[in-house]
Amino acid sequence: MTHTDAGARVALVGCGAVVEHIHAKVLQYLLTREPIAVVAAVDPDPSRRELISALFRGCEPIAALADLPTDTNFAIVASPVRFHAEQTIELLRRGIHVLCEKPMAMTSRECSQMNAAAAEAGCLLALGHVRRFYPVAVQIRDMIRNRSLGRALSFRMIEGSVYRWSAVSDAYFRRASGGGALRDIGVHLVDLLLWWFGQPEEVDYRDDAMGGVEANVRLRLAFDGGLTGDVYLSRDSTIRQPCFIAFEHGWAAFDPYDTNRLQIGTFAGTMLDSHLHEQVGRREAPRMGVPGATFQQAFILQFLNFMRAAAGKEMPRTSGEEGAQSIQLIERCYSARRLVDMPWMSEKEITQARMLT
Amino acid sequence: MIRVGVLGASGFVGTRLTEIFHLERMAEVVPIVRSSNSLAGLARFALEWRIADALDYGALVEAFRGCDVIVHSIHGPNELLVEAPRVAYRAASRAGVRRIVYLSTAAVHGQDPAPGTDETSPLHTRHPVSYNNAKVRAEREFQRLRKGGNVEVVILRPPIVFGPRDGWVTSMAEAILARSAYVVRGEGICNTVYVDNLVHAIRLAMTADADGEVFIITDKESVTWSALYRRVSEALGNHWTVPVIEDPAVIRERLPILAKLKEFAPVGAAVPFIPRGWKIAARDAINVASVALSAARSAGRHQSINPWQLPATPTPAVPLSVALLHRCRHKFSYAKAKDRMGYEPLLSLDEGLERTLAWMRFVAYPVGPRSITDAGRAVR
Repeated sequence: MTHTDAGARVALVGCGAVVEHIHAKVLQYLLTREPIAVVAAVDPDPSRRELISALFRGCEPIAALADLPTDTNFAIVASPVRFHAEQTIELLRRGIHVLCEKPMAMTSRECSQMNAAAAEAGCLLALGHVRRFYPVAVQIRDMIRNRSLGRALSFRMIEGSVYRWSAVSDAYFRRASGGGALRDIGVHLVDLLLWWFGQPEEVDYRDDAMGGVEANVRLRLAFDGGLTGDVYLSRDSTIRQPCFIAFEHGWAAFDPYDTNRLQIGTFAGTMLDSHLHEQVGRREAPRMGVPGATFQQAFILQFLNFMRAAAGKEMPRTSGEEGAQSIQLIERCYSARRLVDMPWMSEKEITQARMLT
Repeated sequence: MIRVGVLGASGFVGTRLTEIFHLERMAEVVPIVRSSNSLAGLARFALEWRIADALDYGALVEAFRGCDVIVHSIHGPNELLVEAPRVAYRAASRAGVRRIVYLSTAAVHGQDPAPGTDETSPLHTRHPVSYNNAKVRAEREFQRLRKGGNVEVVILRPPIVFGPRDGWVTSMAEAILARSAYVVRGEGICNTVYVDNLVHAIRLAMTADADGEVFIITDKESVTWSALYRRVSEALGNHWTVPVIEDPAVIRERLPILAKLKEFAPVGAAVPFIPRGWKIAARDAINVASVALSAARSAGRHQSINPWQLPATPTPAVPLSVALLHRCRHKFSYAKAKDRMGYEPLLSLDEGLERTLAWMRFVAYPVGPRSITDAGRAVR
């Protein structure tokens, strides 16, 4: 029996909005079903750690990792990204399995250090790329791998909405936080593209940061075999176009915020608009099981996968190595960065925008 | 350089204003937003933003401190629009602000104003669209406060503001792409102002000798609703003709019952004197009745579906505000703004449309690179 079989004693590291609105709710649900106890809420802000610790019986509000209960064996790192590497490494060195929120770290060098610490400690480092638990993402990966509609030819990935996430402070939008649209929301799509298609050969990256952090991103990727695609990201405009993948014999479209809805067309006069369900029963006589996971259920499944992977019962859906690949691609983008074309601006504006870039 | 606080900086107009003022170095901009969530777009620039709720006097005083001018450009429920002027004016006075430029709306004259309507036309609060009434009240409050205060006020009344990041034009595009768009009657006038022209007017209003004045701000050209829809439809590569509806079913605005009662002047005046317990009991009873009524209506709708028919795009029921807008007979004039502030639109309606369509291409709409090829056709 591993020490994880005896039960998870979980620390929440960082007590911001993502913990309050998501991870705490996941753990509150699982408390009554799994051998789990939340033992510590870690945050330098007393009001935040008190708020989170009050949600769990026996949970200690603490300011620093040094004060963690010694029997802690699992941690969710959901602090600002600039602290991810330092905190994750410290936790791993203490023999604690870590589920680290996306993005993994500020740099790929930090990612390497985190992965090395995990290997050295013999602990699990998993990444919180929750969209890999969206049924639609799994279904599309399956279609790409099995070539159900033939080879993928091109894609257009879009994620754009006026920012509504309840950031606890404006530090999130300061340059030091690494909080631009690519690093924040783009990392989701970057991770999915890597999961589906592997590393791209060519990258053309443009954004609209003019002294601050980008709100809009245009990214063009080219892959081995001729597959090309565009990524549109926006945090200041709602883009109502769906994500779209063109295959040899049809197409697939989906909304990045809808976890289990998929549209498929085969160039006929009609199209399929489907809600995904679990498939049960024998292969030759399938039956429809429960509906595919919702946004909230995807987070629950993510934590269960983390626990089972730590116990060696299954593979983590996103390993530390895979998390590092997203950061490498993001670094590649930023290093090739150019100012995006903003055709509504005057010449004077564009001149100054280039100077501020 | 003049220092301008923009209250509501994350909105469509506020964002473009910040962009232009900052990049063209017209002013030192201080964006003021309600919460951190609203900073995503503004954070493209290294600006010293402030966070303050439009009804939080203390926070506004701090946010306004050091500003010469405040541009008041908030959006929200009608209650907020009516309450905000009082708080902003007091805070501006305390913080030593010289002038407030208030963004009102030409809708204070209604969506279908009588021909000849201008800044001198009397206002009223009997519009069937409650937003219009709220903006009339807000204007009146600013004017009342100005009479007894030391902060100057200039009020701008733009009609339909359009441009990059505008939800109005993308809604139009969405409806066209889904083939659910329509125009009521068709020959009604769409009173537009391209957002850059409005920002130009705001800039003039910050320093013009116009304390206490009200200005209607529009584009120069006049365009019909039919022509505008046709232009956007063609730009989207859509060869579908937007249908014209002559006499649609009109959806009247359904205010919550309590809000409706408050709109009725004698009830509104009596509200402060009603005991709190009575108010709560009345509110609960009205809520229960509303839910029951809504459920009954919903059940009625479900029963009316006839299965013996082929699918068809239903004839739309049109919101009252849209029906009135599409019937508009009057093209507003900016003559007073020209005379008193030297306002003249910087960009033509065509140029504004071209830039807006270019932005739509930027956000992945299927707009062709040469969207406007027959510039004169829609404009008269």
